[in-house]
Amino acid sequence: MTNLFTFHDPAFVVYAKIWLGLLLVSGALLGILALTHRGDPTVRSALVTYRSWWVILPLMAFPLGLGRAATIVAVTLLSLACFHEFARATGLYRDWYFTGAVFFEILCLNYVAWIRWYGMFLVLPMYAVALLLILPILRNRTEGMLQNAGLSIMGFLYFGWFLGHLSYLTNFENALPYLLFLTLAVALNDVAAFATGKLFGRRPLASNVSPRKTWGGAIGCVIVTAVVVWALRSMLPRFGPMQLCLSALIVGVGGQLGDLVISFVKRDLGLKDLGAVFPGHGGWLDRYDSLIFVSPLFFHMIAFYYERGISLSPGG
Amino acid sequence: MKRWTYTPSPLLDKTLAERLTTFPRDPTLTVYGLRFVGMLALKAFFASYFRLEIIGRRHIPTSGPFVLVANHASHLDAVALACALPVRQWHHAYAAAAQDYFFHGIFRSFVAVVFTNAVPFDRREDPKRSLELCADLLHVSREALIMFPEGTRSTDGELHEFRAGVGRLVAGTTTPVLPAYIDGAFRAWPKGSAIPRPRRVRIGIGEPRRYPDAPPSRAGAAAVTADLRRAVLETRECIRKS
Repeated sequence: MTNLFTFHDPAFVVYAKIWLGLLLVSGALLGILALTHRGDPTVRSALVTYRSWWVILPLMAFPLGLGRAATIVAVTLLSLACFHEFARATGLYRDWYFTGAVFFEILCLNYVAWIRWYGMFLVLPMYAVALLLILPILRNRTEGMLQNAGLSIMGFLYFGWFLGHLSYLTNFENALPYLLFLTLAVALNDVAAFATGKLFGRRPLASNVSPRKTWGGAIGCVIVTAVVVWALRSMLPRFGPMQLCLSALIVGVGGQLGDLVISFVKRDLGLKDLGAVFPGHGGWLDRYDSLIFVSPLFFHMIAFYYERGISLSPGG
Repeated sequence: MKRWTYTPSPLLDKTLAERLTTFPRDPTLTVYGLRFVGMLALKAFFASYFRLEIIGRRHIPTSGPFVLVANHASHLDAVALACALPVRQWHHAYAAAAQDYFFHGIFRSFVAVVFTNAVPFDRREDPKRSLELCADLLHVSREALIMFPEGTRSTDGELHEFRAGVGRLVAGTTTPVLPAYIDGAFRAWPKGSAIPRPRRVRIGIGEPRRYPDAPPSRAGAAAVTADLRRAVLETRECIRKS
């Protein structure tokens, strides 16, 4: 991925048109529904959610259009925002040593991605966990330290390292089409999960974690995502049938698992939403839960097939 | 065996705009970090662009509650006073800022909260409640407070009458009150001007005053307020002579 503007890139132009087209068509449909079903709370809530998409999509697209550096900065900020939200929800944010350490580690990880040091990118979680585990020793404290260290380790690994794969993906050949595909496919997968969950299925998938998730909805969502992947196949350079099938599974299944991971966190904390950043969606984690889970899976699928010769040394 | 207990932030379901206008705020590392970095940058900017000079810095208490009372002729005032404080007090000094102006819109609220640690002061609808909030900050949380008793920016650069709120806060207490005069901020960035000009800004900080014997009545508060105004004028004369 180039360090310079990529707004003129043919892939960016096509995806921008798709995004804009989807927003306009769904806006028109929602407008008709709003006229025919006046006062319907479901339509009203869908309109609030829809309006937020006009903020979320440019937030995702512009950094990609600005080039590699902006994309890495955006992923770093997203990781920090997700971890910060998690820390506020669990109460970890009151312990500045642990939150500060995780902030620092997320910055280090993305710097490693910037300098293309793949070996360090893979082993950094070991150093990060080691730092978090020696913090109680350095502070000579034990009270509540197991909880804070545990939450911090999960915070770094899940919100920092998992999402950090998007930063490293910018170093791969054809990174822009892959990243554009991922953002669009994951967003559509979320919409499909919501829609198919409403329309199909009665058998609960994990009733204690997310009462509204059903097997029928989950399978329907994977099918919709597979159709989306097939429709976008010409935009995925080098991808053959195997890679397309894996992409559909990774986005379709991984996206829903990401949603369920954040659901169990919320249920355990007794919270409905983890924030109020995006009206109709919730917080950062409510919006980007699927992307977090999907990112490393998609990254390693590409690394396995196309980047086998990747060097472990800096600049590789 | 102990169970893990989670205590989420009380402002978790609030939007950013609501979180910025709510007081007391959540002490998050992000805001403290932004304030620290932002204040370092502002200190450097004030030192180079406005050639900020601080006279009487030794009068600032090292800890505990105190009130810094100053003239108000420019938006630069609160930040200039924050720059005069030692680094360790940046997060413990709160500037009383007009709620109807500084907490209107995300950008202004963000700047007010991050750089001046602003307390929303409702000068129109409910000033009494805002004064109670300030009193809690001083006497319960034992923090520092920056106040501009004129209530608004001066349009001619002169010192105008003080409102009695500051007198009510400190009458009958041993809380030290530091009179301060900011000279040059009006020339640098007067009300109505879009861009600050590179003019020299000087801050004079006078000796702390205490009013333990002043009765906490309307008359007592008026007397304290009048004395503080005189003290600010004396500080002005001192820095103009120096």
